[in-house]
Amino acid sequence: MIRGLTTIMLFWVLGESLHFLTGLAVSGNVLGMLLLFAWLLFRQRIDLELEQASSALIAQLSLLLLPGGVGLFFLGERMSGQWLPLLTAVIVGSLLSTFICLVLMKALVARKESR
Amino acid sequence: MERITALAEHLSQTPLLPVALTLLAYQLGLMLFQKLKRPAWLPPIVAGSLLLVPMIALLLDYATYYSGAKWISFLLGPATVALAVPLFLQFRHIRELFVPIAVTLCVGAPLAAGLALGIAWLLGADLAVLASLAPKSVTAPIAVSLTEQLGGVVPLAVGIVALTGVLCSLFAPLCCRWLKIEDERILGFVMGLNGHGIATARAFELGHQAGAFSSLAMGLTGAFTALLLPLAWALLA
Repeated sequence: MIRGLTTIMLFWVLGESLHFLTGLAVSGNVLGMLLLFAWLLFRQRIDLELEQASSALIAQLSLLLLPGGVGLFFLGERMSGQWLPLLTAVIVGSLLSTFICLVLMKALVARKESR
Repeated sequence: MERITALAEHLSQTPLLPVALTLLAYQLGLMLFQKLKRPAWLPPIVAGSLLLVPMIALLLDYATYYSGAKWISFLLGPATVALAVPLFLQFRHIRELFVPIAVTLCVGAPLAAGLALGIAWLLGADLAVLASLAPKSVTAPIAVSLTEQLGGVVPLAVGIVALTGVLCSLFAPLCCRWLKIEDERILGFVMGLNGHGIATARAFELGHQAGAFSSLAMGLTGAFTALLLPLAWALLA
């Protein structure tokens, strides 16, 4: 478990360094994820320890997001007049894009399988 | 009485109280979620937030709370890096349906962000709100980094991401029935693309294959959007 966490932390350091040194417009933790993914693809196998550490972290994502998420209820004045455009955009946008993706992928799969 | 006021002061000087309250609210939220038989409309993060609000309001203020609770949110960093593992484990599925997956990803991920941005912009949302809205279909740890980069409001982005996840997990199965889609791979992939982790948790309850494809879509959408959104944003701004 700890060995897996160490690997993860080292890849984060690597990603953060790459972000700092190159000024790439992608954050260090995301670069760390991409580097770790590339490393796993290259090795074509994964240690149990890394798998355990990763699923332990991912299983607790809701807890880790709670401190940031609860801030939604403390925005106050900041959001006056913004809720209507925001909620309309999230609701209508999500419904439309889900629907379009389903229609598109259904057509693509049907085309592939008819060949 | 004086001692009690002093106690509240004392407890909020270290991260102890913020961390303990976060864990407590999360546990209670989880219990509520189980008790209500795991409803799609009330994921544990929403239940936990609703319980945490009165605790913070009574005992602390949000700024004090947030600086202490950084002990918890710091772990979002390694949790983001850890997302590489499920992406790697599900990656073999990409070969099964390479063209449909690649095309749906390249069309769907920009669409998920673009449609919402377009609507919000037309209705007069300000720039910080737009920057919080742009990563709405990306898994939350990546969305937090993205919104910070674009100049959005982190709590708002987390709320939007959670709401998007809930909407997609309710709506995608309904649409599938209506469109007569029986292929779990399509349902799963579209759920993960639009509704990230929350929809993926739901997809695993609908079927193993739906869950696997949803998990793959979540990883691909996260990586794709994280690479391209900052560039697209710079071009538009």
